[in-house]
Amino acid sequence: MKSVVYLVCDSRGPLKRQFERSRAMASKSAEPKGVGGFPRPKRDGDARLAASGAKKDPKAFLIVGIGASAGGLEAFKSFFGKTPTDTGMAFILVQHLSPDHKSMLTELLARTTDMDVIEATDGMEVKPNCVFIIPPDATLTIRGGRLKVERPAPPRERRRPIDTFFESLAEDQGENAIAVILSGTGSDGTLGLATIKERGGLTLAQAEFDHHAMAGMPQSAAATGQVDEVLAVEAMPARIVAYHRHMTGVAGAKDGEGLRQDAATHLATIMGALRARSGHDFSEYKGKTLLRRLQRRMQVLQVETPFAYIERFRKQPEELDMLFRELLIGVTQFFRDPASFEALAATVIADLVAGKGADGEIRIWVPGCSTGQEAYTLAILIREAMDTRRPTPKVQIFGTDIDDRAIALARLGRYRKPAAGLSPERLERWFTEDRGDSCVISEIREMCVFSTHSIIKHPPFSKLDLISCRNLLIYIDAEMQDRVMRTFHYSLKPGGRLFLGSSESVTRATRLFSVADKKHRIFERREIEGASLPDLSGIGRRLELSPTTSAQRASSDDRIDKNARRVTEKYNPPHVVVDGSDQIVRFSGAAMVRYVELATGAPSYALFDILRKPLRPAVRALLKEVRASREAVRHDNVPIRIDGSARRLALLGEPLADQGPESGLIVVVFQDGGAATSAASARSGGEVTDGVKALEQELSTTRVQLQSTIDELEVANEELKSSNEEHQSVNEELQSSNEELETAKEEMQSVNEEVQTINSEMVSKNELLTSLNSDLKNLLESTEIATLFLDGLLRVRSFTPGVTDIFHLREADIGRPVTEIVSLLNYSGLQADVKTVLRKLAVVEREVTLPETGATFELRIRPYRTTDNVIDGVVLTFLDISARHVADEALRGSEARFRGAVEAVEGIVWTNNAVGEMAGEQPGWSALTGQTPAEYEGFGWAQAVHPDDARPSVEAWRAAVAAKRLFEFEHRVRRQDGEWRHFSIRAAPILDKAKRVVEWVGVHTDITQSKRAEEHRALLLRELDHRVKNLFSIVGGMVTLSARSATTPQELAKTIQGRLGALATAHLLISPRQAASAGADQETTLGELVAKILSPHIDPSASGESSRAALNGPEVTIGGEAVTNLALILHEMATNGAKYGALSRSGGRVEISWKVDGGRLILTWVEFGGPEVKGSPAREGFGSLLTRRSVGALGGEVAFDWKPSGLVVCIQAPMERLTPRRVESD
Amino acid sequence: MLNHAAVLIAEDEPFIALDLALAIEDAGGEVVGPVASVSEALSVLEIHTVTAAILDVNLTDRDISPVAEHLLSRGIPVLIQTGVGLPPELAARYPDLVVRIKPCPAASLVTQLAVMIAGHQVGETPSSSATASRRP
Repeated sequence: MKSVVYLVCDSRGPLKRQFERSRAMASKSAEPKGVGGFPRPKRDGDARLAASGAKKDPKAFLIVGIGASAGGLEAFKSFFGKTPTDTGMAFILVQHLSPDHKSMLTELLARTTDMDVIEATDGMEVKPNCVFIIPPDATLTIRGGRLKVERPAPPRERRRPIDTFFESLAEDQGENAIAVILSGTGSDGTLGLATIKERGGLTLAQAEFDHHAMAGMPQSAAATGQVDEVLAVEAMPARIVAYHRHMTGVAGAKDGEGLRQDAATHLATIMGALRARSGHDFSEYKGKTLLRRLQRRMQVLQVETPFAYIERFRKQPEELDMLFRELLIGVTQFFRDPASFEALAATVIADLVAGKGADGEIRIWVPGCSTGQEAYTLAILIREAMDTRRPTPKVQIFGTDIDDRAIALARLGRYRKPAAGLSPERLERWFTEDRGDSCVISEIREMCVFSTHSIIKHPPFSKLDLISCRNLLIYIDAEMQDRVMRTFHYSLKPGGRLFLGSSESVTRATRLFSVADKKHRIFERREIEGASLPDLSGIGRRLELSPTTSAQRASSDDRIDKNARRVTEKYNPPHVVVDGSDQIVRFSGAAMVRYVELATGAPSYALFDILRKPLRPAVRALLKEVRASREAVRHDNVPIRIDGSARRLALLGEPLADQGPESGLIVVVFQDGGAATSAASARSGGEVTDGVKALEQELSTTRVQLQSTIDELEVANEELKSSNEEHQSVNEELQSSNEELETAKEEMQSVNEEVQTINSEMVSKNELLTSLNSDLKNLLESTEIATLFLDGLLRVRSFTPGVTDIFHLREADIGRPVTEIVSLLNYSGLQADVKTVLRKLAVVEREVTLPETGATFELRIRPYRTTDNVIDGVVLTFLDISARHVADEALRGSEARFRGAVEAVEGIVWTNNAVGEMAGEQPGWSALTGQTPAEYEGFGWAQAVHPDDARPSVEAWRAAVAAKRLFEFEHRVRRQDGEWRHFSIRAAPILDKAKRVVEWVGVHTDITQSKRAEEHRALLLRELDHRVKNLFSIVGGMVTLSARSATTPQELAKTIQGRLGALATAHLLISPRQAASAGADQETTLGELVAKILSPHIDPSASGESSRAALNGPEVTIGGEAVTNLALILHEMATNGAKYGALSRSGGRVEISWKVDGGRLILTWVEFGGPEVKGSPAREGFGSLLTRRSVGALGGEVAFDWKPSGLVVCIQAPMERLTPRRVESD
Repeated sequence: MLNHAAVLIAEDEPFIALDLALAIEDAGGEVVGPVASVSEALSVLEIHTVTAAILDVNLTDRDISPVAEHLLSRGIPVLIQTGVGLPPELAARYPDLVVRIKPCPAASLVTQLAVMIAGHQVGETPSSSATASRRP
């Protein structure tokens, strides 16, 4: 590769060749970089290429990434319609999807292709013969053959899903990647597609003529020249399949690194041809890179051998242009050549920052900035230098390039990781990470302004502090370099610095720049006179016109003309052609030397620098006149002294009309009028003085005029300068707003794409809706439920055919109020009911009949709710229920019977299986116990039986099952509410014909009530038994005692009778009368008891004043056995009174009073009007003894006072012994 | 017949208590009580030494068990008369207790008590005679 073959010799000869050589040398050490319009050879892609080549394995398959946006659905359908299902490739679809919109792409596409259509999920492995689709609101990438889905998608203005995916696809799959850009607006996909191509993949774009294409995206991609083929979408599948076939076909010719050795041998030939065609020499670049590029080109063209390829470009030289472009890829990086940047930071930037105040401004220009890394590098350096300073000056860094794609990337400030050249500290400080990309922070971003700009064609920036132009000059020729240097000189402020690439220098412009740091290529602007901005407009024109003018000259300069000119030249007067700034453009022949003289110093073409001094005023005046009149002017008899002799000259000035009046070219002819005559000179002797005086006069006048003209000129110049400055600043502002507009435009584009996508999905959805609608219509018609839709004003909206049986409705009635339509129903409340429904939003149901047919309908009126829940009218449904009516009646009857039966039984029925285990549904048992089937299964039911009964129950049941006999048992079961209930159980086996038990059916009957009644009876019986026995004992004792005191049988009988009477009274008062109060004695009051006991001894006819007994005391409740005792005590006292005391005589009275005091009853018995009492009896009578004993039995005391007026008895007893006491069931 | 034996009567029915008391006096015994409650009985027993006792089961405050145990533990013959039977615990502890079911003539009770006292004094084994007497 070291030898370079020059197939075509450059017309400019050795000089050009020398430049080529120096460029080749420069490029050895220079870092290649993108420069507008100049080659940007790619060099550092080798490592990555090698990596992607090395990981190739035989099992790898092609992955086709397809990007689309607006109109993409149709394109996808067309594409997959033509794609075979067994291509062995995977297809991954990326579309612009709205983040909040559910995509239906998957289901829509699944109808088009037989391949599996899958919505991508994170970590999904990509498999051949499948279609993967990006999910909404996500970023899809691929790594290691697996899909990565990251959510959510970035904000709209930065969302480029197709680019992102293609870039990852290129990185992951290298040559196995295919990028397809289908219909869509905007430019997403373009950069990604370029990356795929860069890594050796195939790139396709949809052709514009496609009938459903939105051309934005494919055009943007195609415009870059990175698209291998622009095809109709239908033709793409076949192209991809063919590509695949070719790829597998040539696989054998490749070595371990995937390089074709046969191609390598022909590389030199091909590169030679390329150099001849493009003038660019790639011979210094790595063979592997070139080889890969070449191979890819051959792959794209499906050219099998290098020979065929050479054949191809011989026939079609444009192919070499394609190859050339294949080799040009813009690469730049941060802090390229770190030492130089450090030197720059230490000197230039430090000075700049230090020298500026808060209102100062640092202006830097980075021409040829490519994707912006250099500009950002400078921004970072300046920002770092300013760190310690407050306040900070304003910084503006203009990054320009003619490549608008590169500028677009620079504006994004977004770099794929790892961003080469950045230290981790700088990366951390000046960048943020966003989905694997490093993004410049806004602080740095805002320092930079990027715009599309050509250093050659466009006016430069001005008043700059620094120009950083690295590795640009090496790509341009010397003439252009010279211009660029002059431009730079113009742009920089006095003392401004120029920073060049490590292999560049200012050797040709040492006049303009002095060396500040030789090693790091930093130069300082020299302050010199006469330096000016090169004529920009002229360059463009010259570049455009020169080929034609030279061609014309070549054609007209025939031999005769040339010879004739040589002859006539001798007779031609000497002349010069000057341009508008008095620069000499052409000299005539040697005769001209008479009128010029060489000045010391730098050579100059300025007319007035070299014209002989005496001639200068005359020629100046002549030129002024010509320019003013634009016509030929002749000045005769201009005296001049040349080489000691005085001569007369005629000066002629004439504009060169052929070149156009604007060119300002003027021919000045010097015609020698011979020597000034001596006569004239003699004659002029006298005149000389006059003439000299006049001339001097004129001269001084002219000088004054000149001075004023110069002043005016200077003023005008100043004005021009300031207006120029204004233009500059306006220009910069425009640049900034342009950038903002760019961003806004991108955002709009993105939104537009989403809208397009949604629109196409809406169309599909609409189709679905139509079909759903027809389904719905069929459903409504087939249900035979007459349905009538009304709007809020009762106008018919629509109806099903069934409604015509109820209303006289026709299609034409839609829109008419339903009230105007004849109804066959006996139903007048329609309007009112509809109003109710609309007001309450509740369903109204009515049963209506058609008198004509007798049919009954269930009418339901519901509010009509739109899908967004707005009430918009009502829906009436008429359900024919004539048949149901009958069935309903029957059902009601059977239900009632059943309920009655169940209630009548008061028990539950259950079944057990043949072996006596409970199984299956036992609703009765479940309802009773609350057990679930799982709980009662087998013998689980025993859990609900009282623990005391459970074991016997189970044993008895097992015995009955074993013996196959009727089972009868009683046990307690815990009811669902927790109460224990007594049940009697009867269960019998159901036998089949063979007398085998099929199952057991049993009944639990609740006997709790009867059980309780039984217990109650038993209690009562015991109580009664006790009482009777007690009574017999008492009566026995009473008889014995009475017999002791009685003297006659009659007296005995009477005494016993009286006492039995008292006992009977007590019994009557307290004996329990109700079953419910078993064991509890009846209560009574003391007053009642006293009255009852006294009544036999008191004349019942006597009452009121004459009453013989007075009762006085509060109501005191007494009960229990104490009543019997009290009854006996009172009886004994009454008997005693009747026999011996006050009651034995008429007029005798007894007063009984009682009170409760301190928990004791105090009862006083006072007799009046009886026979006089003569002291206490000598011996205590039996009655008082009995009284004393009885009171003692009550825990009380008794005191007898035999007053002469009558007996007074005082009884005290604790109340607690008198109140009812529950008799223990002992 | 009772030969001045001190007999405790615990009975809350005045007629029965008086009848018994008179019957015991008639038989030459000395009556202690009659008492109508257990508490009364226990306080009486603190003062008096008794030879024997006729006890009803249900007194005004509670059943007779504490009194019966007090006496039985001292080897004093006890005759129970009841309408309802013995408290189960008492029956379990003293299976040989002499029990008469009401109604029962006072004279008959006194006669039996006399036999019990005599048996107790002779053989010092009240239970054997009591056992025998349970089977009329």
